Amino acid sequence: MKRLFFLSFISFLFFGCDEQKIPSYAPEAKTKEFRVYKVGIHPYLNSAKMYEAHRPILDYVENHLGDVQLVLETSLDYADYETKLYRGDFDFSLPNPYQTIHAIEKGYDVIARMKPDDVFRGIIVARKDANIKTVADLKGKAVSFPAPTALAATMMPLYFLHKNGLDTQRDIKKKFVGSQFSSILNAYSKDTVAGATWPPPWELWKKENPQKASEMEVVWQTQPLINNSIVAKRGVDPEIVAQMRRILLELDTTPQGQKLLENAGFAGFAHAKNGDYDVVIEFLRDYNEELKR
Amino acid sequence: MFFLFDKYANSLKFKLIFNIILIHVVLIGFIMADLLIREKSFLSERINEKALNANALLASNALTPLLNNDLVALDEIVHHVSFEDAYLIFIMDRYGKVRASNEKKYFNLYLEDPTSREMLHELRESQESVIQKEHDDLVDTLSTIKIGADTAGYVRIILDKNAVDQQIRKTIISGVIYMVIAILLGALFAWTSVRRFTAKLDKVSQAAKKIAAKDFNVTLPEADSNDELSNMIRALDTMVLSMDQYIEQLNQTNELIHDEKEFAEVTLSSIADGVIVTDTKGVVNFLNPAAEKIIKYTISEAKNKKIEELFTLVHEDTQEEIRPPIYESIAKNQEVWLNNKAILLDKEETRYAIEDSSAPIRDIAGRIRGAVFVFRDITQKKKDERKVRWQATHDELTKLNNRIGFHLMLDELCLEINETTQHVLFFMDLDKFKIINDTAGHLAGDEVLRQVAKLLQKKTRKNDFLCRFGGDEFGLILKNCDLASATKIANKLIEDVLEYSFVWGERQFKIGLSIGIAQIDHDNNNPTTILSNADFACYKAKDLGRNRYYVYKEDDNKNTEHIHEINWVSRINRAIKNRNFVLYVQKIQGLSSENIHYEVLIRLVENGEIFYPDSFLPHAQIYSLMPQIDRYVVSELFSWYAANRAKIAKNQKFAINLAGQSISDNEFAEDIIALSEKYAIEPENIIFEVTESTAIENLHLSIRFFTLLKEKGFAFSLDDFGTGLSSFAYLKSLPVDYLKIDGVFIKDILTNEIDKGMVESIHKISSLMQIKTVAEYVENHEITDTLKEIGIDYAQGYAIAKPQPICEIV
Repeated sequence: MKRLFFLSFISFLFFGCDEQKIPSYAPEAKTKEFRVYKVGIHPYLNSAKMYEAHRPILDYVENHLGDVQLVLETSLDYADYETKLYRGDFDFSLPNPYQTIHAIEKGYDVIARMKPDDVFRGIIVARKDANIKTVADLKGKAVSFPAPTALAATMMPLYFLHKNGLDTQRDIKKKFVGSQFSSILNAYSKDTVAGATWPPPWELWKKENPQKASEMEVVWQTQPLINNSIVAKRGVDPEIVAQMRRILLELDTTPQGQKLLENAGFAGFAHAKNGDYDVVIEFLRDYNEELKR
Repeated sequence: MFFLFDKYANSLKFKLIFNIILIHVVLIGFIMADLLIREKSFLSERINEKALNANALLASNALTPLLNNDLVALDEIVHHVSFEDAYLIFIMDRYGKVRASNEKKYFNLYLEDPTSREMLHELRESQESVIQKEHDDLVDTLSTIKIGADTAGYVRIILDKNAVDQQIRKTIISGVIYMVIAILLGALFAWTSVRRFTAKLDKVSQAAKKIAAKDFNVTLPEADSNDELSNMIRALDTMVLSMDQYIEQLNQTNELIHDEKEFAEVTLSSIADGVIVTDTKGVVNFLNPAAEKIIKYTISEAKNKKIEELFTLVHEDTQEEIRPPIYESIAKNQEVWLNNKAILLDKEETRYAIEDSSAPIRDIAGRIRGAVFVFRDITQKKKDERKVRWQATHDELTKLNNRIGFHLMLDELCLEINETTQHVLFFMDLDKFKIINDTAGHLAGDEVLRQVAKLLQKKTRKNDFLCRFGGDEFGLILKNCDLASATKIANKLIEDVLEYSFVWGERQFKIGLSIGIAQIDHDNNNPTTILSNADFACYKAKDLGRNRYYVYKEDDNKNTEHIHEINWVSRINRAIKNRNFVLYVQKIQGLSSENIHYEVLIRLVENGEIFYPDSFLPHAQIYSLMPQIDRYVVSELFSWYAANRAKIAKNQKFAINLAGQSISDNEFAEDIIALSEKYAIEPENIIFEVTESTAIENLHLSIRFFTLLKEKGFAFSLDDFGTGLSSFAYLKSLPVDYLKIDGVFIKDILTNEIDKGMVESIHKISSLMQIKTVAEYVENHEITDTLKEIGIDYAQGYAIAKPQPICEIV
């Protein structure tokens, strides 16, 4: 009697073995109608920091615009960004002045610019104990730069050094380290005797690394040029573009806006048009003429 | 199949194996259940954890590609993270749009089903960065991809829990497989070890069966270890051995018991006493042959009957029925005797005087199991006792009471005297008796006495007490009789005696009767006084002319002279003192030899008148004066012997009669020895004669007396042999040298063959015992010749010689 029971128990278990159950649940997917605008910002910060800095602003704009998605798309590096920009991936973008010129050629229009202008300059930082006093102190040493096409952080410092008598081809070893922070860090770590960058990243780095920053100093700074621009692709709904411009320009007038800008690390936005960036063209012309020889 | 089941179900093997299997199942079942539960919860947790981990991994990896809108990278990440339980994976942007999934169809779409919306809403609402829900057998995990405090996007991973169940099931299966293997192995092991065990047990039980059938030739299995079974086998082995021995012992014991039982039965069968065994209720369950004989039932007839059904017991005197003493002995739990007064009446009403006792039978624990009734037929013994008693109190010759009986009666009567008591005592004396004795011989005298006794008996009332004092003196106590009636009776008696004539041979004699009458009443209550009064009265009757009665009166006491005269005590004492007792002798002639003995006799000589022993010896007996008389005789003889030694042959023997009273006197023997030494008498020349009855009556004293004197060399003769409690057995204990055969056998020896035969056998046995025989009462020469023929050693009687004064033999 008991044996039978035992056998049946075992077979019951086995019966449960073969079934492969397909889950009864599967999420339902739907499309949603949204106006989606891609926003790309040139990678003067890394993706995370970029997002942290600019996302709140975009959220603010989004809220004011209403039923719109402003998707912030970051880029791996300048190359990646420039590829996307010139390909026309972005609806709105924040290129640097150099990239602005090319963007205009590629179908973008300037609708505003970052302020203040004088932020857009190049600075050369070095360790205090490097005792860099004159340009001649750099001779025969390595100096770090973010990237060759970085207008404020690379080109303008190089022009400055050249103008101050340094043969940038021969007198220094140019190290292109890829990012602003790397340029600063190289100088800090004495890999290079000095590093070139521009104020926003330098300020951010200082904020984030007070201890290290206390060992560093800004040795020289160049003349300002013009700040980054906000461009909008030709073809985007003009209404949206106008609203965007308006909101951005009004950003620094409210305490909330000011807070956002402070978080982002700049003062705000100002009027601008395509023609304002002619100075860049001029500078580039000069730069190419004198340094490319 | 179930039949098989039932058949084996009872075997120990099966039970053990089954139990082992059951234990396995239960244990492993428990373990497995526990394991499964744990596994399930573990797996569940793991899955959840897995989901969380995957989510976290995915979230961290997806951040940059998501920000960079690098779809390729996102897709790669999704597929990199995918694993077999992953059902669905989503990477969504901050708006919830799916930017990458393992399911292509979801790309760029929003997840709008209620569950997805709920989860998203809940995550956004809560401060958490991840939520996990279980639904539809799925683990649904949603987490935010954060940059700092901002949400850059979402990762959702849905895992199928079915995989867990499958895992569990796999575990169960493998567990079950293990269990089955374990059970099989366990059962196998159990079976093999149990098999050995039960095989051994089987052997043991076979052996036990054999032992039960008393066959000790058993082979036990090996006890090869120290486990319980081996211990049991060893113990069994020892038990078998000791049982064997025990049974051997038992058999021996049984044999012994059997032998004892047989012996007991044989013993019971052999004993002369009757043995009846009953249970506690008096139901008989055993008789021995002696009992069977007496109560006249066989054991099979008597068995299971109650003891009172077999016979009746009555009291000897009251004739009242007595309850069998077994009941009393059982009730009192002790032995009970019936003081020899019981008479047993068997079924035929035959009476047996019995001596009996009853005792309870107790078992070892002391409980009463029954009783045993032991009895012996003492009818004969009683008869003999009665005879002895009768003989002690009766006169052999006349069959009347003798003086001892008389004294007993008189004492009893005197004790019972009250104010109204009136009895009368006759002291009767035959006149002219001596003439017959002297002229016709003793035998004639004896016959006269017998006939007179009969006559007197006829003439007296039933209740009255007639006795013979001795000689020719008789006593009669008239109970409850006044003087007037007594005198009438006295007259009648005298008349009848006068009328009576005695014929002996050709002669005829006449006798007379003198009666002294004394009253027994309140004023006369002293036996001795009453007797002497009657005695005196008789004397007076004789004095006044005989053939009359005289009634004693108080004044007669005043005649002091007479008192003295008739007072036998002083008379005898006086005779001793004054040597009024004269020694006579009667010759005893040897028949087989020339030897001559002399029996010493005594006569009282007063005032020229000779009184024979019959007249005064009874009085001497009454007043216990025999020792003085016997002493006197011994002393007189020794002194005469010493005085006449020269004239007497050297080994001339003299035979002296001794009374029972003398033998009882302890100092008498010593006195005799002293006297013999004083007078220098050779003890071998002195024979002491004691009557057979006297000797038997005082057997121990006689033996002692005889032995004492025999040591000195004196000889003994047993007088009147054959008439008392004749038993040659006594001869063995009494050291006698001579047997004097009673005259009763001798006088008719010529005519009576039996008498002759008696004499012959007495002589034969006596000579075997080296005892000489003497025949008394030899009245004629024919008798003498016959005696000679038989071989009798000596003869005494009138045919030989008459008594003569001792001085005449020298």
